[in-house]
Amino acid sequence: MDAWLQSFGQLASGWVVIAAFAGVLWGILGGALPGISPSIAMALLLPFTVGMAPTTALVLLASVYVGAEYGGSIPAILIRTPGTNSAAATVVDGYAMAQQGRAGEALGISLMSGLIGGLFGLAVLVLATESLARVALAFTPAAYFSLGILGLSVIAGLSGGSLLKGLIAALLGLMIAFIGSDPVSGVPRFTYGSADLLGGVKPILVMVGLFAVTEMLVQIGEPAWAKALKSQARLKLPNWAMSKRLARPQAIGAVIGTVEGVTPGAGGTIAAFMAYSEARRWSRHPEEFGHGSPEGIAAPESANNVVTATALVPLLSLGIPGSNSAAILLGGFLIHGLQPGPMLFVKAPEVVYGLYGGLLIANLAMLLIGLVILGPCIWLVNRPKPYLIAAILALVMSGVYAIHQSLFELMLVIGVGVLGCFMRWVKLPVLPLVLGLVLGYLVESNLRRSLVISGGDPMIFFSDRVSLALLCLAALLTAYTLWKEFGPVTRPADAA
Amino acid sequence: MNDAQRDRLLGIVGAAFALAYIAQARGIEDSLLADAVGAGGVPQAAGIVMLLASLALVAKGLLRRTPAAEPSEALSPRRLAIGAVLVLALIGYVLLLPLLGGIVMVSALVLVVALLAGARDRLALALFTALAGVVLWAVFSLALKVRVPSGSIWG
Repeated sequence: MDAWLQSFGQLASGWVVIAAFAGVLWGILGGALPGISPSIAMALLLPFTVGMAPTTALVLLASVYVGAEYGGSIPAILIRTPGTNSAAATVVDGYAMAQQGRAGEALGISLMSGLIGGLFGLAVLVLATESLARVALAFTPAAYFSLGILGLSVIAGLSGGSLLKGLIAALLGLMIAFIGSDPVSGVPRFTYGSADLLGGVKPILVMVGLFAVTEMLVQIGEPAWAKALKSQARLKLPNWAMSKRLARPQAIGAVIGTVEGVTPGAGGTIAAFMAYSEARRWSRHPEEFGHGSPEGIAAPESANNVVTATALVPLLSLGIPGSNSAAILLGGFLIHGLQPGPMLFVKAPEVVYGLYGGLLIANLAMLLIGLVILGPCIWLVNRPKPYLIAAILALVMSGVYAIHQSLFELMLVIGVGVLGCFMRWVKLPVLPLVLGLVLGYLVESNLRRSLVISGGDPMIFFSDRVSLALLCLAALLTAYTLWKEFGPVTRPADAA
Repeated sequence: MNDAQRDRLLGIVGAAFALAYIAQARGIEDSLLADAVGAGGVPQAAGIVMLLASLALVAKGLLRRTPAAEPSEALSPRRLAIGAVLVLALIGYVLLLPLLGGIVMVSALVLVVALLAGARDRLALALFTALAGVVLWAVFSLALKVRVPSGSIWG
């Protein structure tokens, strides 16, 4: 109850409200552009948050995520091209409805389902996060080290099917995290005499490079996407009878979105497809699925919007980013000198509660903006792609320069962008790298602190009960992953 | 190049990188404040795990039966060339930014990128180029109070 009251108090700040509306608007526009994922839309704004108050900055970034999930459904329904990965499940019935002249109805269902999902996810976030963080408050350095190991053990879920590749990517992230002054002795490591590297590589630069620059380097060679028709720009919200029919798929989406959201690596795309599948299984009209079923839009759209909030549970409570968008939000915390995790509720509770309040406003803003944004979105989707790519790259370069006015950082972002292209080509997953980068300091500094405390005895990690529990959990996760990777299950690739 | 070949390539590159990294990490000198692990201890461990993981990936790539139906995706030379020119354009932007200033360089960057991406309408391109530099300068310099380089060449 306290959390709610404090979060409402944060709403008194006009900047938080403006940030929520601006973030949702940016997110919807970004999500409506195929190729601009929620994380890219967030990464583009990341440099601009440097001078903002922490709460305003985080609400802005989180609101982009909320808006992008609805924005992604617009081209999915209108031009059969999902604006975001998690809108892919919406294409099936959304585009079928558009072909039947029911595009406005499909978009209305998407908007309302997104709102319901977003509010449900927010309630889960508020109720689950603090209790989880409270448990973690009793952590010693040994337990923090084990928490870092647990965080690294979720790599498997983020690896896109190859544990080895996920491990290599995570190690690459750790290696980037080791650049700069040693956390214990202050000795410079891997700086090669460069003063620019003494402070380490800022995660924000890696994220902007990996998400935004890489995407533009890839997109520039891709063909243009299809055009949307202006005649489709009339939104129709579901009536009472339709709302009653949609309640069941929305509830299915909410439950699946909650489970998938709090599981690192699962994310909105898996949640949306699972929700679609389950909604069809439990529907009274399963035969309509694939041919323009409103339930086929409601389930995935409520699921992927639940994830916008529930994906923040592991981030806020344990400091583990379980998705690209959560990783970018983590970058927002780090820019403002805040480390997500159990101590966040002690050191800066007002930021967490402000974020809750901002997310509530963002979901309401999504409804209001969603009602009027369709026309501008269709206009934006129809802009020539070359100008969009050019504008985005100019914005990225100007935004990165604005952080510290450093040419070195600009070069670094370009370099990371090229690395991202190589990673994409060899199918090396990006998220484990980000995880390694942000957990590197936590793991190394607490490992060494613990060993200093114990006089070099590694048994400290097993004698501390919390540390032992976390290590057991990490071992279980790793064993499960190894079993999945190397176990006797015949995978389709091997069976061919 | 199919997935198995890519895995082998990644494994070889990863192993070579890990070896170089371990050598660098071994060269890190400890200060008097050093603990039992030392400044180079954890990086060395990471390098060794990376080496093992990379070698395992190579082995996996060698042992894996490549399905006959698995598509072999060749890199399109055109896409590669466009990407390379774009990277050079971005590097050029960074190098010339202090010399020519923010407005000129943003305009030049959007012009090159739009042309590379296939923009052909000259009037639209000219308008877009001129507007982009001025608008971004106004956003950063006037609204966000960021010191945008004015260009040393202009005095």
